[in-house]
Amino acid sequence: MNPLIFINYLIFAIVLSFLMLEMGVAILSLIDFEKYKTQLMGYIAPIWEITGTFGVFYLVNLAATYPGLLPAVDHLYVAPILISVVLIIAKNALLAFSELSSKSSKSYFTIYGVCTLIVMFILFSILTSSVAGTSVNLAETSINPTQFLLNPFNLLFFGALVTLVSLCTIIFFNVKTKDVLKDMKVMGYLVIITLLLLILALVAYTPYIIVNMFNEWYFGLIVFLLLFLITLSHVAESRYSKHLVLAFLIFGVFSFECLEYPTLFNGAVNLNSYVVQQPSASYILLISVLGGIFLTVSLGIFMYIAKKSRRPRPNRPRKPKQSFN
Amino acid sequence: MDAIIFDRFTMAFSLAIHIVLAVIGVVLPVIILISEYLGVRYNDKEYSVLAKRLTVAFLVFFAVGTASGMLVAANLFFLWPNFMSLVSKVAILPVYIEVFAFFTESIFLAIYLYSDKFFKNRYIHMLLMCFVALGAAASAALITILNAYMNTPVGFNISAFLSNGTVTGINPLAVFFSPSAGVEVIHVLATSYFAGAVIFLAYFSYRSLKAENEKERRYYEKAVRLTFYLALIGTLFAIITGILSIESLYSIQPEKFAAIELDLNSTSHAPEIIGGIYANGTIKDAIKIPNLQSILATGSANGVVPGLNQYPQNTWPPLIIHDMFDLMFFAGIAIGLFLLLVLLLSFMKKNMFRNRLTMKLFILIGALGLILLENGWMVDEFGRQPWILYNVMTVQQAANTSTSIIPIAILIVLVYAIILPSTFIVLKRIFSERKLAKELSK
Repeated sequence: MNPLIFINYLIFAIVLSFLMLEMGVAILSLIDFEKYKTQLMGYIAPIWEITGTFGVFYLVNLAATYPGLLPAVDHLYVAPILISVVLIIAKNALLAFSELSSKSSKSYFTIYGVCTLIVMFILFSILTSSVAGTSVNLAETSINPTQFLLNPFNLLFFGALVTLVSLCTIIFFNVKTKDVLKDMKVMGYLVIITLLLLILALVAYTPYIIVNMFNEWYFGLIVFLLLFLITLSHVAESRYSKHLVLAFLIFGVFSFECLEYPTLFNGAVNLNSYVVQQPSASYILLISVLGGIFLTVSLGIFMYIAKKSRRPRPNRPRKPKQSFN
Repeated sequence: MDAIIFDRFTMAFSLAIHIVLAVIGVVLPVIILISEYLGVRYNDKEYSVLAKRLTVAFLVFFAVGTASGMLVAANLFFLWPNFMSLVSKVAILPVYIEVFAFFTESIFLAIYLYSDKFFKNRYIHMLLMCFVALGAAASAALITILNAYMNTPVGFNISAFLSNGTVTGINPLAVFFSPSAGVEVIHVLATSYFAGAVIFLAYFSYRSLKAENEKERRYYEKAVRLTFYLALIGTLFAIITGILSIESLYSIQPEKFAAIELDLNSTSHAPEIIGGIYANGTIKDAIKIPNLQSILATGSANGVVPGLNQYPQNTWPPLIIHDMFDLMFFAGIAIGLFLLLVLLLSFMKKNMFRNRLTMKLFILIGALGLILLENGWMVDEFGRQPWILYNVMTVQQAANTSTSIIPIAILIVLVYAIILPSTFIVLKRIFSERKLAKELSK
């Protein structure tokens, strides 16, 4: 795989994973904001800016990696992307206001939740449209808006996303009842429904991805292993559940991209013919790697400090003051 | 309806708003840093409270500024797809690196917010805001580098591109060294600090006039002092770098120079033209100071200045930029002189920062500073017309001409119309929950 495409795929996997967790926050907040408020704000308050920044990172990386694709993408997806940007602005502003204003926190957060779900539906429709090519007329670089949103592939795939996000949210935010068996049943149903919807969608609309799944079976094996591990960690109340969920999501999205590689629009477009050429390619690769390392280290420092600052400090006995008499 | 008109209007509207938010984003970390330093160094309660309250305001402005920046970026890609397609091939590096400068800003702001009680040594906490300030300045510089590139494009075979549309001979690093990059970056940074400082100077002066008791008056006096000195330094640098900018225009963009100076014909012993309008091939109602333009541009009255008649009339920028430039220059000088006068008087008199007339004049200066900020960018952008990439691609050639952009353009304008007043309403609500008197008495 071209290293620039690898990096582009990885950034996308990270962005989509964070967005999926935000979607989980939105779902939980709409179900019962007061009950889950502390957990949700504890997660989303430090993270939301970083999710947005990663989104911008992906868009700029996309433009830098595939400059030849820009005019087509611009013409095809201008309306849904701009509407998404407007909604992202609204939701981020509402989240910031919710964090700072104690009186109207719930109403801001509710609107934030609704905006997040709508944004995810639109962004996911762009993704499914670029994967399956449904509603896209490449010759005229236009899309059919109704078909774009309401085609069966998009609806099935989005349904799978909702159930998958629900499963990950249960584990990430440690949502439990007292009945362990009931919790396991719910999680089991969510896994089965996700797989059914996913396979139905892919078989019906992008059978080449199913074929690739058989050829590159190790992706599927690792995804299922991670799924098993996160379920186990949730039952065992391991402190690593959150990390495992994130790893599962990132690897899951990344492996899906690899199964689709190197094409878009149901095989109509080959990404390799649009990748930036030398000498720009070397600089973009260098900046991506160095920037990625800097980002990882900074985020690590941030997460460490955010975690420590949320823990109450133990009362240490004061040393008696020395007298100089 | 012509879609290009909507493209222009949407871009201009977005940029006019975003530039104010960007300037606040550049200057506010510096104000927070200085006030926190003064609070820690001199154990000063008012400065410490100022730093904390400004941090809350910064968080809100940062959120809205980020959103606005996303909208501007989306506008660039969707309103000008042919331009961005070319830029993505030859000049994407500053835009790409800017993402990391922005990451620096947002991550270190988040660390700063969460580590308020984490570090025993307050100077380490302050260091985090240094990174935020540096990230903001770097973001501004990198985006300005792209804007400078639009004025003086280099780094690929332009003649081949013009003849057959192929992009060859690419040097991706050339964008950082385009002829106008250096001078434009320093002028933009200087004017950003100037404009941002006067905006906050105006705000604190207004609050000082409305203060209800001596504690609040003392608090706002300190805020006014801090922003006054920052505004003074910013003004001086803005004037110096402005002079360097116009000097560089003479050699690297002579057509723009001629439009700004309203020179119709290339000539020696050129007079400095102040005011006036171009009508029917002549300049009317202008004040002309003999030889001054030649002396300022070349150091000698015999020096030759460029004239607009050397260029085809369909490539002339709108000549209103001459009057806009004069406004910028004279108003900038007037502000600088007034701030120097206040400084002198404050050394001689007891306290200019309690004088009500001075506070009212500071408010006027804040409004004028905002006008000059917009005015300066308009001179830059109008002065490049009809080109989006000077002498390479016109605005017409770059534009998205699909009429489907029209409802989206209207939506974008509506978003700004909602989000900006909402930001101020929310800020008011937040600060009504955080009474100043309560924070000062803690």
